[in-house]
Amino acid sequence: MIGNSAEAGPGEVRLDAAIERVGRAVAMAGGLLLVGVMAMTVISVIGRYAFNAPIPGDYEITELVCGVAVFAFFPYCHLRNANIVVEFFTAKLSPRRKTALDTVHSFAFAVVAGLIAWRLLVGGLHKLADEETTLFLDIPIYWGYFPALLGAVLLTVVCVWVLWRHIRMLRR
Amino acid sequence: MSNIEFGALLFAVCLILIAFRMPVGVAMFVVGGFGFVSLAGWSAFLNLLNTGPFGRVSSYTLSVLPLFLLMGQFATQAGLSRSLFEAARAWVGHRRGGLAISTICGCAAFGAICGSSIATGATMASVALPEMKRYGYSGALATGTLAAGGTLGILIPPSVILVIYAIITEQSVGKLFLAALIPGIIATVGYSIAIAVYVRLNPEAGPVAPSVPLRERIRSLGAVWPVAAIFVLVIGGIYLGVFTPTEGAAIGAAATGLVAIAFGRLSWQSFASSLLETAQATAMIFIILISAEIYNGFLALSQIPVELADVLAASGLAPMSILIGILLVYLALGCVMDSLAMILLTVPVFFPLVTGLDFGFTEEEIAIWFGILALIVVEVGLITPPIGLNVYVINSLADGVPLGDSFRGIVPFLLSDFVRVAIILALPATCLWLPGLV
Repeated sequence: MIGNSAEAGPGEVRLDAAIERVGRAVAMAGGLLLVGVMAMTVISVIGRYAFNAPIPGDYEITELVCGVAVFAFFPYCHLRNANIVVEFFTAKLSPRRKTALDTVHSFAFAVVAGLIAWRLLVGGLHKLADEETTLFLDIPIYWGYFPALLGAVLLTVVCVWVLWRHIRMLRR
Repeated sequence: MSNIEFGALLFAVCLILIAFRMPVGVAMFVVGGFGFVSLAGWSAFLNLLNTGPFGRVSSYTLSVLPLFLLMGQFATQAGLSRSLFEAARAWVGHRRGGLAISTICGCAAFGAICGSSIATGATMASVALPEMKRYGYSGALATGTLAAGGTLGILIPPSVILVIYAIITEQSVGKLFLAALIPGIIATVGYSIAIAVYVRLNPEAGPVAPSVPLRERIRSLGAVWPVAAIFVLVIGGIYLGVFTPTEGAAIGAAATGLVAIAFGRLSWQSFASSLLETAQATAMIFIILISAEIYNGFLALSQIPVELADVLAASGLAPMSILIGILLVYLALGCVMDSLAMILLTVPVFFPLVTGLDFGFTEEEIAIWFGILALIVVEVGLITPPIGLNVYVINSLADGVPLGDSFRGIVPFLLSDFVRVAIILALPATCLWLPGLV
């Protein structure tokens, strides 16, 4: 939950819960992808030594799948307000001043997230147009970009949502 | 304005933004992006963003990080911290200060399958704090021990920070892991000595706990062997080139997961929470890694690292004084900054400078030695006031111990840290001997 939902309207509470649920589900999906990579890698290593038969292209699969998983993790991390922040120098500020600073920063974060999402889309379209594929398995690279884009878009949504909550807190 | 001045100015702006609560990743992105655009223009920056962020997160070598984090989570869920603490306690718990020493040994052993500092300290705290309280240990000693013990998690391989250092400096992860092993043992012994001296001076701080019969002691080792086996398998396999670090991490995570299942501790719920915790810790690191890519793009364009190295080379300072100067900078920054951000912000500047110095070693040897030294000094920042993240986390887990007591409890460990840095500075062989064997 972000901020103090007790003072928010019912629609807002519902939206908050929905974003929370989606963020968690997407992170879980990313986690399962990671477990999948883990299992594939173990099987591939065993195959390599025991049967001289590794899973072909396992490195490429690891790269693409981990890339997608990491993007799936970003929105959840921001929802949990878990990004690394140095609080020492501002610990004595009033809550209102802290909120004012956080509003500026969540605006910056939203811009950064939006920028990353936009360029991920452009980059993915380039990869699609160039028909760029991985070396070994010929997996199209955009197969990584577009699922990752979902994570980046969701991160942007979360950023805007957090920003909106901060602005509301400031107005009060 | 020269490039060096521009770079220094932006570095200062970055630190100021961070000091004003801007998330570290966002600050590095904003400042690095601004610098990049001023030097190379908008379109170059947008081009960098087309492939930079996804390229960074979809790197094979970096995939090792989420897998190691997952391994640490499984180890936490499996309750391995309790088994390790109980085993250490069976052997040394009956001595004065023995529970604190057991905690240090438990942290060191847990660090062998967990790559992060706060996770190690916090996990061990849930087991060791109640026990130390029960036997009348002072709050200062108990919390100080755990905060310091946590730093062993990051020093003893696998280590998240070492992996990142290896990647940005293009060194072998396996060699760096091996290089950290002896310093890790020195740290464990040094912390134990610090406790022994402390309880000799303050006998009431660490009373004796009951002794355990030999049969029990031997039985307690039963829970230790899976940890030892996983450690040897993962670190040995990576080092001998049997598998890549990423494969080693996957195998370690799978093996730790199986141990957790065998111990009957991995329910669906704890599996889900391991995944979510891994997700959070991974995202925290990669946000900063993506931003560091932008920031380092700017650094490379500005040629600051090269110019700074030239300036220092022309200054005629002795290599050792330059090295000690850099370590002091880390120590000062570490008091107020996060260790990962520090490594990512400074290593691109300091690394070419240090490897260019003449210590009579090869460049690779200097890279390994400097990596371990930087890791230790950065990790000292986790337990120094005023920020000392570990101390805050442990203190928040301990009921009724004033924060000041916890910071006082850390002093003997800090002294031990300084002795260790001096030993490693004077004897580079402590880092270089093991990796040099093959």
